[in-house]
Amino acid sequence: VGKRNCDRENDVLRAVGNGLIDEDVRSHVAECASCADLLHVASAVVDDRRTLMGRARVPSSGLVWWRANLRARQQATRVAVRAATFVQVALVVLAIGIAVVLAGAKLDYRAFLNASVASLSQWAVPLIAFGAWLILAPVAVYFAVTED
Amino acid sequence: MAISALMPETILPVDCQSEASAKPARMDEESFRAFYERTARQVWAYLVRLTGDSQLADDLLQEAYFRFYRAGTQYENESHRRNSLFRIATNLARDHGRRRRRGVDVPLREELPSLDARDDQRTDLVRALARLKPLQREILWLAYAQGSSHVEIAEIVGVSSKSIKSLLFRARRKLAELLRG
Repeated sequence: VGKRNCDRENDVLRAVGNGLIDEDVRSHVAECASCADLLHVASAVVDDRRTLMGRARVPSSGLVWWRANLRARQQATRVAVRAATFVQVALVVLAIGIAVVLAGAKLDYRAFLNASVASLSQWAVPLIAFGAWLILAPVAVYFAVTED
Repeated sequence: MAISALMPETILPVDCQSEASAKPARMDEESFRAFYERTARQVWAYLVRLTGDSQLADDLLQEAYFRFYRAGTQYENESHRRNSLFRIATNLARDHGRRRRRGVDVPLREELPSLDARDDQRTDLVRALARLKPLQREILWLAYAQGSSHVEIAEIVGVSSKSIKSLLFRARRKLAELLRG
């Protein structure tokens, strides 16, 4: 098992970085397994990086800036729309609640309850169908648009 | 000690190092574009070697800069800014790797050797890197290609800085063995 970290690793890395491996480093590497690995690996990686960066065809900075801004604006719009929708729904629920409270103040509960039960039995089948549709329609849409 | 200090020509452009003491500031267009010009090729090369796919690296590169821009974080200096960008790129590559392993809607493109059949040595490296664990690839590239210090590598890959030394040693030994065949 070779030595884990040789004191001369920095010399080896400096030589790789400069692209000049002098005789001193070369003779050390011949005797030190850890530095031999380091030289082998670091040389290959540095050379590979240099070649890759030379080949890189990255988009222009202006294009990336423009796209980043566009996406950020789109995301901000989506968040704003979602928040506005939430507020609208909350306001509608609140309005309905207020209307129910106001109406309830003048309502004969017993008569209303009796009338509701009577009409409920009359409308039971359509209401159940409507409820089932409310539940099943989103499920059907989900399965229709999902690839899996 | 940062390896970049030992490898001045191959690791960091001079202007990166000179900005190390820049004041913290949210990026405007000019500084974003300048930062992109300095770092895009480095990040692209990193992503190519992490994912083994140059086309995917193109996509992830743009996503990385978008996330970096959207984060809108103020950085103390160029080094922190660059580390943050590499952390984003690392996470994107990892996410893609996880999705690929789970078989989720990720096109499997030609693997690592595709880009680099030019010379045998580089092809060997590409094949050897492909046989390493993702974390090993990340650490080796950051250490020797980017010249990042152990602390910087720890910050980027999300591992404690104390364990980087041994992880790097093991990864280096493994890669050297693979390169020797």
